[in-house]
Amino acid sequence: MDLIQNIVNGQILRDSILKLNPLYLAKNNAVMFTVEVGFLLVLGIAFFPGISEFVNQTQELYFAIAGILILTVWFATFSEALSEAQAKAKVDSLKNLEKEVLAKKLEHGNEVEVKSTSLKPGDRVRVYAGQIVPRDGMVIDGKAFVDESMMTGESNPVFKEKDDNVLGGTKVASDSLVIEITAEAGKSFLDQMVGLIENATRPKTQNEIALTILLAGLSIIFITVVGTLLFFANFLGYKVDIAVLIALLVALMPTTIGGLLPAIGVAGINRLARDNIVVKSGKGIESAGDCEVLILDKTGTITEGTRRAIEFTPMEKFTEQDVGQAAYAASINDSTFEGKSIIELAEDKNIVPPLIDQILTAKSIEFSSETKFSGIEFLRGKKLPARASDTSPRTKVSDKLYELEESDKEIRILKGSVESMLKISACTNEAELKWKAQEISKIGGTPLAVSINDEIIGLVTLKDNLKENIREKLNEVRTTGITTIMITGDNHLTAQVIAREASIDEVVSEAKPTDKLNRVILEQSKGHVVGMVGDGTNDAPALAKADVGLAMNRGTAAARDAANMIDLDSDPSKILKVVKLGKQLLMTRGAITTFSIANDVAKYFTILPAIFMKDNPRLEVLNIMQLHSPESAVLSTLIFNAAIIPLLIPLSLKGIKFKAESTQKIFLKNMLVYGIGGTILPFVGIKAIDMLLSLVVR
Amino acid sequence: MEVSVTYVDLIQLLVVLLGSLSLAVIFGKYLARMIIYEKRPLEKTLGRVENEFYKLIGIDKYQQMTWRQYFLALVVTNFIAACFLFGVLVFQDLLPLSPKSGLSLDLAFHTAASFVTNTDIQHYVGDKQLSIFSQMVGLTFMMFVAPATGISAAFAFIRGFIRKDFGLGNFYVDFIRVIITFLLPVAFVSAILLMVLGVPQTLESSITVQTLEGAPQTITMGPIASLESIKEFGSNGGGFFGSNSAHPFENPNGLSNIFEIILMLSIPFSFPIAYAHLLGKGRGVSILVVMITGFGILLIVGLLTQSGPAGLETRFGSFGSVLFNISSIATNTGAANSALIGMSPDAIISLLVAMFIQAIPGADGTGMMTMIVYVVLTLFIVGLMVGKTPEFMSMKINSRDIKLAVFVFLIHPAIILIPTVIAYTNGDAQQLLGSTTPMTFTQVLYEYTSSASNNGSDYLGASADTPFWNLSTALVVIVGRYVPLGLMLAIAGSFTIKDRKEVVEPIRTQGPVFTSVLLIMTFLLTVLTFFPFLIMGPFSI
Amino acid sequence: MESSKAKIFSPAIKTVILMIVVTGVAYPILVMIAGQSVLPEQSNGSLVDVDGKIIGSKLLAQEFTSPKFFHSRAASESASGVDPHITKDSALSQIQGISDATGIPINHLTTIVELDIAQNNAANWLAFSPEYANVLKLNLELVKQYPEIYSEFLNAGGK
Repeated sequence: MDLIQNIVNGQILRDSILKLNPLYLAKNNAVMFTVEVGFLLVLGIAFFPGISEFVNQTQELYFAIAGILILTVWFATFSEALSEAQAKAKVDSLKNLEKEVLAKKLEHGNEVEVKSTSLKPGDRVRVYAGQIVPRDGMVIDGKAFVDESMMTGESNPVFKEKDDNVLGGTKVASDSLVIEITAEAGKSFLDQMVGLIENATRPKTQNEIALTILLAGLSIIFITVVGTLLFFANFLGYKVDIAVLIALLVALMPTTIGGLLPAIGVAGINRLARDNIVVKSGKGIESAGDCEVLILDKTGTITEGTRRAIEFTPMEKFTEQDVGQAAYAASINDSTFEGKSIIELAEDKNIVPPLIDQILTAKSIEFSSETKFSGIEFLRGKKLPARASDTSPRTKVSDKLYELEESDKEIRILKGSVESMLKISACTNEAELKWKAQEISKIGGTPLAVSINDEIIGLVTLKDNLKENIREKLNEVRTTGITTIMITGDNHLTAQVIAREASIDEVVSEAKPTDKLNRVILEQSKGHVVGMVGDGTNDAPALAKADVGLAMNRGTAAARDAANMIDLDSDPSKILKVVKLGKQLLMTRGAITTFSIANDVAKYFTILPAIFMKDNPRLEVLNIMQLHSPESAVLSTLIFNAAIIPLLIPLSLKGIKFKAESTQKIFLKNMLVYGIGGTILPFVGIKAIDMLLSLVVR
Repeated sequence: MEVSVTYVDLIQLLVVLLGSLSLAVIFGKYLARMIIYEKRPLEKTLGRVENEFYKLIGIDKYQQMTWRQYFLALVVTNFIAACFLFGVLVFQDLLPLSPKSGLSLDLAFHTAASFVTNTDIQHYVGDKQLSIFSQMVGLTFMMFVAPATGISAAFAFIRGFIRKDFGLGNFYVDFIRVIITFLLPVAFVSAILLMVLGVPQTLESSITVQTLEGAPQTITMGPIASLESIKEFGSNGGGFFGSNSAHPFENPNGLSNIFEIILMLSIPFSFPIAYAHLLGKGRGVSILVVMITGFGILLIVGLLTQSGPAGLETRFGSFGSVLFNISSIATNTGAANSALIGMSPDAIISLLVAMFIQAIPGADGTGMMTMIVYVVLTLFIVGLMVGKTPEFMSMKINSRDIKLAVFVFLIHPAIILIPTVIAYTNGDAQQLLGSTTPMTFTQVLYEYTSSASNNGSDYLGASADTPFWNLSTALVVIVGRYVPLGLMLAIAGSFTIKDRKEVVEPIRTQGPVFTSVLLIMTFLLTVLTFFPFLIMGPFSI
Repeated sequence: MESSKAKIFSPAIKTVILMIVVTGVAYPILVMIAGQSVLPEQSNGSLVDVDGKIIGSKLLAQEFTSPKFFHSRAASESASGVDPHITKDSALSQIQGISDATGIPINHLTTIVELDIAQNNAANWLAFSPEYANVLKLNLELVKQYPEIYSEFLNAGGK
């Protein structure tokens, strides 16, 4: 149904007919150009049958051959136009959002209304709630929620503040933002992608070039063969017909792959676009298939990136209750996911801290990157008579707090990294703490120490969740021969455990920002093709260096510039999908090439008897297909040859089925399907077409 | 006609395979050591002798060449050797040892081109037209130059795949080492064995005797054993006599027949073994299996119908003739122990296919090189199917490699088919052979196929000693030799600078799956190209 | 320019000259010296002499026209034109005619043929060639065993 609708679609039809232009074909598709030249020759013969001694068939046959030949070319251009249209549709829907709007440009502090197209990089604009962001840019000032659903499909508005990127076409949902424009008009990555879709302007990738050369080589060989065949057959007294020889040439040439090659390339970009991945260069997709090493961030790619408290571990003197109360108190002002999860865990365990009123009104100590802890501080002399209402059970911690409060001493309840807390907590059994922290690391958790003043009460185990199915996905990737490397700031033990759980091959733990780039360079020096994901400015050099760099849309402009693909959904684990797609792309090309060449065997057994048998009865043995007549043999071969192109369009657009298996197994399987299958199918297909034709033709 | 392969025939085949493979095992290891400059047996003595040669020539043996330099040195050396042979043939009347009148310029040009390229098509009758000096100093010398050129090129080619920046070697070093420490000693021993079996070796050119019935008989002789041994061992194929290895002095009996077959096969089979030593046992053995299986297929096709008895020698019979000719043509030696006219059409199809493929096992050195090109092409065509850019030896195959490989593959049908067309449109073919029939068409197609693949066997022989045939086939042998050699060395030059990886190849270039695919592709690619001509030619005879 | 040309051509020319000397001159001469000293018979063409007169080579066919002799294949039937051998069938089929011409009993002739075939088989280690008879050797055997019948040829050959 879809296909029929597409054919009816005027744009595709028009494009596919425009692409029949011989000049266009000569430049972009040598195989189809040759077929078209063949069509013109046969057409000429059809009109002027008396032109040469090598013309001796009926005019109807020539018209039929010419018709099938031009149909063959049209099938090819149609497949190209179809895949382009599909990709364009997606890009257009994205680009529509970038259409011209009025923007409030800031000039010397004043807001001036200008057309969005007149904006240049570096210009600043203010965007109010309900307005569209005029073009890609970076937030300079303000905090607001931005609705990106039209770009990414993410329904919840995304919070943006200073240094965040915003996409042209998205809508500010609340407040206002001052945005500095970063993209030139028409130079956004969507524009780059549009360029990649059009065959005429698309730079070809290495494999595509090599394949094109191979196909051209095979075509030249067959042109030589058929060209010289004309002479020899004539000298040997065979009555040869030019049109039949042209039919033989077209049948032998790799028209199937030649016709579908452009469509396959565009389809790859298209399929990525459907997954909300914008492609900036074709090389990226191809390299994705070649990836041998994937460098993955732990957070966000392998794990959800949201650590949750799962356990309270007391120091020797204390109990779980104690730790829970202290951790609850320390997290009371913590609005992060981690903080909330500590309170949730405590409540699940029915743990409530004492002095709840004081805690609620306590001064909060914010987390900073220097101190690496956070918590609360009771202000002295601000006593509340709430003691009687306190229903929490008595524990060592509550005793301690009451005692401290009685004596009107300063109370600080803190939680933070083990190292940072050790620095400020003097009277603690350091050995015990470290040992317990290590135990937590061993299960892949992150330990948080909780203290009251200078005494550490215990540890909270925070654990990140693995992403859904990540283990299966990574196992699939491994089967195809890819090594995965996880890079994380976590300590070695934690990293190891997660790597084991997620089935990662190698871990770089306690990593510094430069480690990613170093690793990319190291792997490339071993000749490996490296893929990686990144979002921060720190990642930009590594993204630029990597063969496949997938930047997160949410990431910085620098990262997005450096990468060759951008994921609009900002889901780092999509790199696995990209790899799979890249492989599918190459596999599709290879499979159809093999199929195309395997097809030739049968074609010799249909057309050669048609050419020679009349004049040389000895060649009867070649006529293993027993086709109806020489004419029907030629026609049915050509019809098969043409029909196979549209029949394979869905395969070219969807890509051949990819199952994670060793390359050796894939090879054997595809060889059987496309090699052996490609040899047998035309025998069956041509015979069937011939039987149908014999009903129609005499 | 009833075809019968007897147990005795199978014993012959078995001895040929065992003999050539055992020699190949020894030679293969030796060649591998030469390729990577490892210690050979008697290294000290050999090294000293070689060093003397390098000193005389004035080269630095440690100086490595790029593929361009290597190819240039190869072409220049071949050119000078060819000029020498040309001079000898033209001026043989002025030279010593039973002088005969000098050859015409076009015939001398054809002969020099034909011998320097390891082709050895003969448009002359050696025993009648050449002096002993020409046969010995001219041709025997060239029979060392031609295979040493091919073997050296293969050395450089294989070095390109070994490891990054190993270098392709130095042509003069390879060339001299191959001749002095490999071809020459083996040729000497083989010549002695051939003499034991009855091959003459004398400077006497001919004697005239009276036969038992009293009629005069001229017996032509000469330094035959020394020529014959390097003729077979160096995949040359140019006979002392016009009738080549059919002549009893070149190939006196069944034993010499088998020995000569073993000699022809030994170097081509030893290359995959050298390859196995250098680039992985599995890889080398897989290629050897492809070569032997392909050879077996040719043999089966060749034996489908009975050959002879006309045109065959009684002492070889049908099987011994077909086995010799297929071995000779499959190794691009081109010697023949029977007239091609005596071969059955099926045998001719088999011989033509062997020359179309050129790599099962192919000529000394170049057979292996061509096979690697098939490996690269096969990997590229089917390799994409596993979802990775095809790799060979864990090195990516890029568009330049494919371009070069496609050219190697393209040039072959072009220089066979186009000159054949020209020969017919010009009328030269009809003039020589009369009306165009499948048989005469086969003869012309065979002439250019043999030239293009640097084979040397032919139907036409001295009847083709006309300016048209001499010049056209000479051009084809030159293009057929040096263009692919240059392209293949360029491929090696491209691979030698590539990064090697530590991971396994996406498609292992060994094991039964790859071996079968390579075998099928090798036959498919060539048969697809030439099928119509086989149909119009030998198949229709 | 001159020097770079010299650089390319000089080693090539020297290499060619050296190889001409080694492979074109020294090698064949050494093979000849070895052959002439150790294998003089083969080296000189396996010539056959009758009463001190060389009458041919046992490796080369010679034409026999007399009905008293075994006949070789016609020159153009073989590849070399000088195929000295005939098949067992061919040899046996000629026996009747020779016997008629000479009066030599058929079983004698059969024995001579079979003996020669057996010798040839042994020389080819039984497996490396089909059965064949050497025409010259057969005829020499006839001449040797029946000198009185073949006296005319002895004289002719010894002229």
